[in-house]
Amino acid sequence: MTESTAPPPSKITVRNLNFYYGKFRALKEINLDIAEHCVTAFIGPSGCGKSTLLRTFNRMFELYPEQRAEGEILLDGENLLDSKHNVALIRARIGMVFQKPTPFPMSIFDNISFGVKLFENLSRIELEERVEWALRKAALWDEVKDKLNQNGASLSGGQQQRLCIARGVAIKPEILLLDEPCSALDPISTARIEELIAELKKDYTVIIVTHNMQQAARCSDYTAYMYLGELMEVGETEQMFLKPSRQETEDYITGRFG
Amino acid sequence: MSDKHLASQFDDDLNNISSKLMEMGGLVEMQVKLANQALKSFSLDQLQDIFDAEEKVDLLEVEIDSELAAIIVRRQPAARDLRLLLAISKITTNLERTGDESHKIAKRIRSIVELGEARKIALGDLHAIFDMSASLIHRALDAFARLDVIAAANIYKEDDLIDREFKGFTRKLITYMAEDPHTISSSLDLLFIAKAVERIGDHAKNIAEFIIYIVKGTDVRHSSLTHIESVVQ
Repeated sequence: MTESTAPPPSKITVRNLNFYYGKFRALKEINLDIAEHCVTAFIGPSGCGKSTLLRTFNRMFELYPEQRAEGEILLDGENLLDSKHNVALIRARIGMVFQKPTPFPMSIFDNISFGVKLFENLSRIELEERVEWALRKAALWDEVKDKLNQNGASLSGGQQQRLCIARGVAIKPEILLLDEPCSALDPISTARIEELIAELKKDYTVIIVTHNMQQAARCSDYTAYMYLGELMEVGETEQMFLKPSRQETEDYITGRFG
Repeated sequence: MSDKHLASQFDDDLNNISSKLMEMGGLVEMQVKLANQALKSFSLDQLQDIFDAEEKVDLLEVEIDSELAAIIVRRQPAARDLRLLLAISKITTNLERTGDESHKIAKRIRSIVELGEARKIALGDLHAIFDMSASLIHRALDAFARLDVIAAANIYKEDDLIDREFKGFTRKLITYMAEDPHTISSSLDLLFIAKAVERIGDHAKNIAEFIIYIVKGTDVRHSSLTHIESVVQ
């Protein structure tokens, strides 16, 4: 693993992380620093562990009893994997958006307010303000402000995905995890989301998993290349795409892999 | 390029454009060689070949640039593919200018031969510089074909020698002109030729720098020989 220059302060520090699906070791001794207020992209071929790594950050894997993580994931110095931490509170600090838009079967307004009400006791007016704030953050407000009572599923795919991002930011997390957020979207919706990612990093630390290398090149500050459960190389995105240190990384990003 | 892309068409694109660059390089090398011979023999016989090649070189320059744009827009190249394409673009420019310098030299040779005064001036030094420049262009193209950074670093070293020899020859011309004003006209032609020859060496050096950029990913322009040597190690 090589780093080209000293990154900004680390928001998440991963140390000696191993992850198992039953007996299969899907992540091997991962050591990684995620820079605060930056976008970090995980790239790598299918099955390399990039989504698995992302899902360890908010302990999403705990839904499945045969999956376990060993090692340390330090968020501001505290190990997230420590069972004393309440998973719900971790997920309030670390929001996640999935590959396919997953609006709840309820109104646009309720999609956003649902999560907020779990963590905060806001007045109706405060709640309305928060919903508008979140929808504006996700660059969706102008498109939905006149139909907040409509079902979230009535929106287009790109709008639904931005709704999910709005839902994620509404609870004011510190970190946003995006797992292939644009893979089901058309180029214009993709461009909107990428624009949004650039906007969001002012307030949040963003981690994005993507199969689209150009997307990683366009919207991330740091890029991490993973292969067969190992972190092969991490560095500044421009450096990674112009002159990666490892031959394996170069082969992958230039399409010589396999 | 040795190893293959998953998209074989991309390999073909890169191979084609590299071949086209070598074709352009071959023409330019021929122009330099003919100009060098013409200066040695004071003969006008092959000057026309230099002028004719110029047109083909210009066409290739435009063609290569347009193919570069097509590859970039289709393939979104990264890392060493991107570095190769950026370097080809720069090398093309340097080759085209090398061709221009040969063209300028050819025109001056014609003027000298018509004046008939230059035979009074000893040209051994200029011939030596020209041989060096011609050799550097040849070796720069060879180093590109083999992506040989050690050869590229050596070119860089030798261009310094050309620059020193050029200064020496300039001083000599000044002496001639001071001693015999009849040689002024030819001396000026020779000075322009020497300058063009020196520029050819610079273009070879520039090409060498881009070869190092392709292979090592480090931009060594405007850096010291020591730095370049440490990069290519």
